[in-house]
Amino acid sequence: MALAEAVLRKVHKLGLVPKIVRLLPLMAAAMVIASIGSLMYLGVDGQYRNVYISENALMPSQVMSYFRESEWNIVRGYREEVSKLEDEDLLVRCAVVEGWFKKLGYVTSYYDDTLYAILHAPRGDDTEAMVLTVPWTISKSDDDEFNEGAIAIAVSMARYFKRMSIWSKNIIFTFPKDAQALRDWVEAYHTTLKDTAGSIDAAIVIEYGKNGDNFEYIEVDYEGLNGQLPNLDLINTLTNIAYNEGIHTSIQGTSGEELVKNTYGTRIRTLFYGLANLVLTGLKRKSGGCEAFSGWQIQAITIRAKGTKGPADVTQFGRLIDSTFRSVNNLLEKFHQSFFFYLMLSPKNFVSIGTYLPSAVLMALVFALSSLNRLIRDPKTVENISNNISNAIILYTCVVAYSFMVGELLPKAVLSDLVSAEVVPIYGMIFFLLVQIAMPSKLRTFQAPYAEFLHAIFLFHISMLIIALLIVHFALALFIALIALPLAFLSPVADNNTFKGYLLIFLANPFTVVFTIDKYIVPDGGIAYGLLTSYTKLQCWTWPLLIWGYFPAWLGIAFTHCLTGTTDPKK
Amino acid sequence: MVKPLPRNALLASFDFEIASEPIELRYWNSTTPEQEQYGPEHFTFFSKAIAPIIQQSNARELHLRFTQGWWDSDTWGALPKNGLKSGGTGVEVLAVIEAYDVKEAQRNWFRLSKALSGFFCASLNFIEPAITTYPQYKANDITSLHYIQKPGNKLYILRAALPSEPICTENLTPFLKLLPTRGKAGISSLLDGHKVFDSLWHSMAVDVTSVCDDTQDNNKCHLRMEQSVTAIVDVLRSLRKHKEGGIPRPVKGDELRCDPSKTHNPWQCFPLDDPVDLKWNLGTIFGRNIKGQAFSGNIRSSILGLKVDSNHWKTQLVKHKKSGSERHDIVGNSIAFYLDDDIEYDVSFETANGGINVAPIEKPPILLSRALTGYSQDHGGLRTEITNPSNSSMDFVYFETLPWFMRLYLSSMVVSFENETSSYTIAGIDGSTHIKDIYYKPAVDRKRPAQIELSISLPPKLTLLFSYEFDKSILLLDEYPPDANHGFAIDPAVITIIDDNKRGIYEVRSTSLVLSLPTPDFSMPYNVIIFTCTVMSLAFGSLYQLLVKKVVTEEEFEAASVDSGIKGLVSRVKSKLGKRKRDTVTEEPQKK
Repeated sequence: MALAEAVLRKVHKLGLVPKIVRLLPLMAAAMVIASIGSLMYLGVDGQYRNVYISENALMPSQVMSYFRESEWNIVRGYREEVSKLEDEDLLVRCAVVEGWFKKLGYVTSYYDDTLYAILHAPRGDDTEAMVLTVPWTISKSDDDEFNEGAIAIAVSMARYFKRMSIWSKNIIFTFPKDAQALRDWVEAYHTTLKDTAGSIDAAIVIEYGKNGDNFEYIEVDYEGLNGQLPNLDLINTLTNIAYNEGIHTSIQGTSGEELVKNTYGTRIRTLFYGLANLVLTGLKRKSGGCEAFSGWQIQAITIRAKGTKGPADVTQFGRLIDSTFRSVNNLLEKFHQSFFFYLMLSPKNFVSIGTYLPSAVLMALVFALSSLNRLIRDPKTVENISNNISNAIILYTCVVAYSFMVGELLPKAVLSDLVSAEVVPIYGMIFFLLVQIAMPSKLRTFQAPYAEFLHAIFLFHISMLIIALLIVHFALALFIALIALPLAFLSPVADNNTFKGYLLIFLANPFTVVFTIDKYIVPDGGIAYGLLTSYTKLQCWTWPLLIWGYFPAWLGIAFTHCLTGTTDPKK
Repeated sequence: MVKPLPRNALLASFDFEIASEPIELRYWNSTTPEQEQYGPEHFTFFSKAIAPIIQQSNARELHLRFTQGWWDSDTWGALPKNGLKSGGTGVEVLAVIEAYDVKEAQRNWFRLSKALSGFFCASLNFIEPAITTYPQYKANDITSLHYIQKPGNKLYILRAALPSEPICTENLTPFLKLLPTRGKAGISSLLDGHKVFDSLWHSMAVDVTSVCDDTQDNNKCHLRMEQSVTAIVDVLRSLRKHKEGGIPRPVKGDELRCDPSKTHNPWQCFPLDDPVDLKWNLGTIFGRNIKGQAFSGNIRSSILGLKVDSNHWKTQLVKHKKSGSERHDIVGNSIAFYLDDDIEYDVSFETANGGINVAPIEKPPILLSRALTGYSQDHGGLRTEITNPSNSSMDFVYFETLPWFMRLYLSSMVVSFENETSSYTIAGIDGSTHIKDIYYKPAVDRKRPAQIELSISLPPKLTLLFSYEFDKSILLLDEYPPDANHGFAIDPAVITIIDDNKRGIYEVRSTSLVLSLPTPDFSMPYNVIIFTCTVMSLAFGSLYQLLVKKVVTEEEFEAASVDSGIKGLVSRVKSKLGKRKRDTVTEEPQKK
């Protein structure tokens, strides 16, 4: 035990333990900085990697796509007919498009209002499929722009695909009216649908509005629900094909000059927009559509044509789809190579999970250290644990039970139109604040050791939540860590009944955060409504994780704070 | 037989019938030497290659199916030959084997499948107990044999399917070799692998039966072989390939067929449907002409049949004689004629609107579809839908076999019925009056598959839906396929419509399914081993050092090392030697 013993002896001699204990809050703060810093550092050269095609079978851009020349006339021919459908009723539109598909020899069918058509691969074994989804309207436009170009392209592609005998997977075309309809269709496909075409390997959602014959670049959405991402190979395949077609690819809303720029600034911007979008997927009213395929082992992306001036032309958009399908068609296995957990810095750069995970781990450590700090700062806290533990467990259980109740009831109330989703966060903010301030002093009976102990428990709860979440849904884990951050620096005794105390708790209130995002960060995004309903409608876990995971901790700390006696019993 | 179908498809089926001379069917005993059991035998036209295989495995019947593609029953109607000659996706083998017990039947079955595997270039050697079934519903179909087996012996029906087997030209070549013409004459001369397999759907069948004469000696039997190739050819694609080659290049601008009622200019074109006014002949579709009759001089050896709507189709028989080609109009909707000359034949087809007007399409008597449900790695579900579109009640047997790694829960079975207006659901199959009988043989891990046979009587215009759940097993390391794979193929389900005598009169199969099992990332154990070893060695090394190492000064070390190790030994030796030296040195002066 020679050296280890020597070190321990030295630690004792220098009295490092109490020093470290005193430094715990400082260390927590340092970890916050380290965490954010490590994320920011990802954009520095050498920290990120260049994308590459991992699955050899994909071979993107290796074949000549013949969706060109006279196919252009056909796209234009269909587009004029499609444009006549804009003012028609959904069912009329569907009937016309169904007629075209029937004439091409496709098997067509409906699920609710969603039209879909299947191309059974010639000589295929009918066990696997690829999906081309064409929503009737563009998702990222303010006035529900008619998805005219994409429908025309889809019908022309259907005609073009039919001529080829190389397909080994079936091709399904779907025409949903919105993201919800698409989600319902995907679910029905795997449960009750009558006309099916085998398991879906990949799906592409296309949006090409009234851009006309030309577009400038493509925008790719890839975020799925619950932190799920499509296999990186699929995105790489597309960007590779686009590169060979001479089309710029935009991710996370980069535009203009940024398309060709690759600087630290653009990378970090893309990274953080990507994280934000991952948190908000499923909550936004207007979504890319590809998240509808989440959870069914389907790799899905959305491709959107941007701009009207060129240089790319409409058949090139078709060639992107054609070549991507040809690549997926080559696959002998399901997508399994490459990465499922990654953050994009640009279409050509990414960081994989091993590189970015430490920042969330550091965040979890912030709460673990703060929890430890609350527990051992005052020796009395530890001494009194045996007296307080049963009360603490009861309180903890109550808080969790209450959160479950709120988590269950609020979405029900919103879905049955009893409450408007927009006012829920406002109520949540004001109600809890008022309750805290108006807490009669008679009830403020918690002793300091008990309060410190409770604080420690709830901070530890947050730490565990982040740890549990960080691999599955890194963005949400980081997001919860960030909104909970004020709680880590709150002292139940020192900050008791002070403005600082109330402010920190108010800031960490999940309802405050939802209100801020809903009102100011993503205005008109319908975030509050999305958050409250997405679990029921889309199986998006953001609401349960927030209200069953984080909310009990916040509630516990908020109430410990307002129930703690203002006067120190010693005095 | 050639029949144009809607959407410019063409149904081409080739049937061959070969019978052997009467031979004595004997029970082949594997313990007796070959020479004692067989004398010289003459099979005439029957293939000498396959007869011994069948005889030595005591197979009294053998049915082989090689099928690929998805049958579009909406457009093409009922399956050709009532589906009795088409299999499910992949390869299917069914044999009736004479044996004294199951064990012996199995031995013969595996012998047979291994021999056939080499013969047909198919992975039939992968047939093992875990995929072999003993279908009950077939029992009524073998009585036509008139064969009386050796006393004490029984006939066993064994079946296996390999749904993931790709069918290609290498399977066609041995098929043609079975023919006495070797594909060189008669209608078989049209069979070119490149053309037959560039189709929308195709199926090859080989049926060998023993037909015995029940009036005379029971063991004098003919081996009768029926071979058939059926394909649905995409005429437009064949013509395009013929004209432009295999690459689907865009149509030239001036060849675009645009809808004149819509905007139509050099930059815009709303396309018309596929062309309906077509002119083609068998030679362009199959790449060659029919090379006369099968057997020179035998004018009844080859028949060519046509089924067309003669109001809209003009068909001509082209005879390529040495003196030049002659064209003869073919009159009638459904006709067949002998190819009675030793010249090359071709048939030309011409139509003005043949895409729509074809000879009547027979409606499929029953529709079957099956799909996997669920998505998780550990369990899933199967959902089957059977529709009776006809106006009369339909009696049929639903046969399904599931591999042992799908752990089935029959208790989770939900049955429901649907017609155009209403639907109702019942839990389990016992509650249904339409399901008459059920035969279920549960799977045994790695030994046998689960086998389900349902006897159903489905009223007209009714859809029967049933679903059940299963768990996915984790396989042993070496049971995973070595190469890249889509997943594990599940055999197609079979529906056999039976007549009053319980004989099969129509067969239809569902598509096969691909089941993805929880598959470990096989490079992972390797990574884990390397990582753990590295970490272990690093941690162990440094930790061990921390624990046992002691910091000492050089002097201390030297002092300690004096008495240990080699140095200690050396010093001990030295000291001893030194002692002696000293002794000798001290002794010397004394001598003086």
